[in-house]
Amino acid sequence: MPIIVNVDVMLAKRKMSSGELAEKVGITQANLSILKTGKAKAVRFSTLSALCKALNCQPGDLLEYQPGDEDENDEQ
Amino acid sequence: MKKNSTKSLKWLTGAVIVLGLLALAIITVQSIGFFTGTPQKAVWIEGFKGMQVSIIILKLIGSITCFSLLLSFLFNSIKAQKSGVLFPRKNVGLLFGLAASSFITLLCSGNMHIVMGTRQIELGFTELFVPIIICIVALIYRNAVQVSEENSLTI
Repeated sequence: MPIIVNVDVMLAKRKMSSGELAEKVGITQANLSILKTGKAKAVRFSTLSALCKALNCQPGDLLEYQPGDEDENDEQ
Repeated sequence: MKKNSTKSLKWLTGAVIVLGLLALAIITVQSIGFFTGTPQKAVWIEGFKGMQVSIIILKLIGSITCFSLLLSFLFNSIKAQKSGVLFPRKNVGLLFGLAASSFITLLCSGNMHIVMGTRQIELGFTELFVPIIICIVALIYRNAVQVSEENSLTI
């Protein structure tokens, strides 16, 4: 997936734990882990806005596009 | 709605078990009967006997395979629904297997008259279209599995 989710970076900047973020956003730690490891296929706007609110940042701070890192599944 | 569909699946599985076992019993008795003469003996034709025996055996094996695959499909679906998955991935292979085995079974069923002495091979509408329809369902099911898996990875 060419989209990188920089939740880890923002968590470090805000000095917040994963558990605390998951609780604030209202998602499970397992789902937050899927998001952090780049296994997620899509992010709902509601989740994104909750993440931005909890981390006090913009969507652009959380998402990054890296060209040339195509996923094989995307071509199917 | 989910409760209703699980209930319907359970009823359908029950019906498949009863009807399938009944059909298998009849096919088995009929297949053995072709060799023993009860209820009906096959009319063996010289040079065609190999084909006649193959038709009897393939129909029996195909029917058992179809029944097993259909039961596995239904049990997988019930089990998956209980765990919150609508389309289990292993059912895709079962559907393709069902298409192949139903083609063989229907082809043999449609040509049972060869066992009774006729020298004419037939390939009818049912023999072709039922497996094709099952294949189409399998392809749609495969897409549904992919969409379902993607949906579960949407945060």
